[in-house]
Amino acid sequence: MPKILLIAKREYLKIVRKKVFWLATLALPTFIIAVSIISNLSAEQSVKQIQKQASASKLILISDPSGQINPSYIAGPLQLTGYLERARQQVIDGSADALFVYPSDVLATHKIDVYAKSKGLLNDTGYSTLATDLLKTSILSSIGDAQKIAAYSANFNINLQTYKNGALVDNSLERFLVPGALVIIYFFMIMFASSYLLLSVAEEKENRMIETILSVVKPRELIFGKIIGQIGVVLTQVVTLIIFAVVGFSALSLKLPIPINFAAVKIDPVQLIFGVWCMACGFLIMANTMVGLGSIMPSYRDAQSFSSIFIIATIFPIYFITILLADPTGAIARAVSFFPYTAAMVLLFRNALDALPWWEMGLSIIALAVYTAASFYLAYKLFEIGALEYKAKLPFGQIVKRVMGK
Amino acid sequence: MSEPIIQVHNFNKFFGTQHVIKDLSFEIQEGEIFAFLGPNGSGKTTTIRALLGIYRPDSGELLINGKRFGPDQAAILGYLPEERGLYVTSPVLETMIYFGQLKGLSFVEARARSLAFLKKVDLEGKEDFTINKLSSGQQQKIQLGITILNEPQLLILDEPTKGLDPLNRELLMDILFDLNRNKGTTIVFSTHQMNEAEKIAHRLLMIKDGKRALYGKLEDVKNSFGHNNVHVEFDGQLVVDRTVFDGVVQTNTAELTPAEGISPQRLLEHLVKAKVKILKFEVSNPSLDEIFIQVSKE
Repeated sequence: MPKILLIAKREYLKIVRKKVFWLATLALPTFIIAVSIISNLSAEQSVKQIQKQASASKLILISDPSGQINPSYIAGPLQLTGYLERARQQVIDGSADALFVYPSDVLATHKIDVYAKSKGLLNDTGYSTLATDLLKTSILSSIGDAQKIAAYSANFNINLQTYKNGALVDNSLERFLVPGALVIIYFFMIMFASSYLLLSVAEEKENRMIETILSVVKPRELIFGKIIGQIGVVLTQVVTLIIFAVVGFSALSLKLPIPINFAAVKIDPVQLIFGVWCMACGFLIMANTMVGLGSIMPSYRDAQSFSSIFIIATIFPIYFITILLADPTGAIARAVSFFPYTAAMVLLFRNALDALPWWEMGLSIIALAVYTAASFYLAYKLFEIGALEYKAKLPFGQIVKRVMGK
Repeated sequence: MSEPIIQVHNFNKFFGTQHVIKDLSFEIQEGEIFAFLGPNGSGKTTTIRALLGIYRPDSGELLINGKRFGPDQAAILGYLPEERGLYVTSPVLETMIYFGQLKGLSFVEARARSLAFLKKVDLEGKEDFTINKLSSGQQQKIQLGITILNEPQLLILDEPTKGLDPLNRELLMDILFDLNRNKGTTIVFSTHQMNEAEKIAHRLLMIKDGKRALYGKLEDVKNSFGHNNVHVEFDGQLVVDRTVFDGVVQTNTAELTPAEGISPQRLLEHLVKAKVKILKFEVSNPSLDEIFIQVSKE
């Protein structure tokens, strides 16, 4: 097996064999699924509770000075009353479950008074819902057209068609799924793999293994081997997350927050290739940065404090995503598209939004390639300079001089 | 002893403005045990690192088997650096196999050799232990195992006995002897333990401030280095005459150094003439320790 793959294999196995890796990988989807289950259950529970409450109630008094309540809806436990004070007293002494008061100016004030026996916070809120629904349904019934009433309550399917430069723009969610997934995968790569890589290089130095290993492998074989191993780790995480999410959602029959028609997912090869290029370059820039940092710092702890600066810089575009979404071809979006650490993520966003003209796409491909090559050169130099400096942190001035070959 | 396995010609190395190695040249023959000596900071580790391509020389040539060393020649080399460690959270056998494979062995071969080595150094049964579960002496054995797993043609050891207890030092020496005698392995080692160098080295190089101070066969170096010392046991009175000798005289013994141009034979004649009753007269070369101290002080 080539040395580079031996190193990659070792780096990969070293991480995926740790329990903490699987805990970290599965914690997030487990949390999301748990939240979905709880949310579904509690929604169902709330509806059931309200229904139960309505049917369990023996007497709900309705005082309607507004005259808006449709008398035909007054049935079962609902009963009209003209004596407000007596009705209120019935609620207080427990002979009535609730009293809904619709004042004469309810249409102007949108205010309903509800008096009820306390049955816990959730159940008490249920009376408010019931009082509101009763009024709304009564108002709608005054239209006198069942179809219009049904249409008013329906969820409309919107067929949105927008045009850009004379051509129809596809704004379906399915179109954004693949480029959107690339953004998420890139985010994971940066958050997880860069830390592992930093740890790997710094530990090698702390363990005093660098010199032994450099007598049997070339520095670039060691660096590439580590990076390939980390890419394997990230891919394992991504695949695990996808499998876990698909299996979890299907097995538990949970609904996605937004319905997606997977059959309609479209893959634009240019968009996909460009997205993968951005991800690869962005990841390599970050990986090379971590190799450089791990090499010049005497310990992992020292390196870690610096690494967070670069990690934050890389995911920084998330903080101004609204600006990117609102104006993906604006000056800010364009400027950060060419800053080495933000470029990949911003370009991925803009690629997903179809907001990259051809010339800009071409220019950014070249820029990313240049940044990646420069970051590798710098990482290699820093590795040469710092990998064997075990004890002290090298002064910044000396590092710069030696990188410049002085 | 035949072809030089290592050739270093006019090697110079700078760190910033500091000239750390100055025009260093030497050769090491295949099959010999070569001691690389020098005080701390004299440039031994820098020279070794440059020889292995870890550092780039500013000028000069450093060759192994006639060419610049690169990790592609890892199969012929065993290197034990001064700053050495292990992947402390990895299992013993896995670590050894990993390095064996990096040195060009197949998985099966690396595993078999690792198990054989562990048995040889009484670490059988510790294959699956993580390295941090071993004592420091046991960890040093693993380091040595990794170094010699590929049965290298050339073994370079930077301060190999540093931190070793006498028992492990003895074990290391036995293994090195065995490799040199039975496999013809060339051994280059740097050390501060002059007695070790004196015991096993065929030839030596001593550098000071990055320059060659002494170089050659052990006996040649001793002979060429200053005057012979004379150990005398006597009866009577021995008076120092600095025109003939200098030295430390005690009641019945004396350590004498003949003056410039005076042979031990002439010194003996002088003592006999001075009516000193000689019980024992022994000519001895200076020890490597003495030479080291003298060179270091110069």
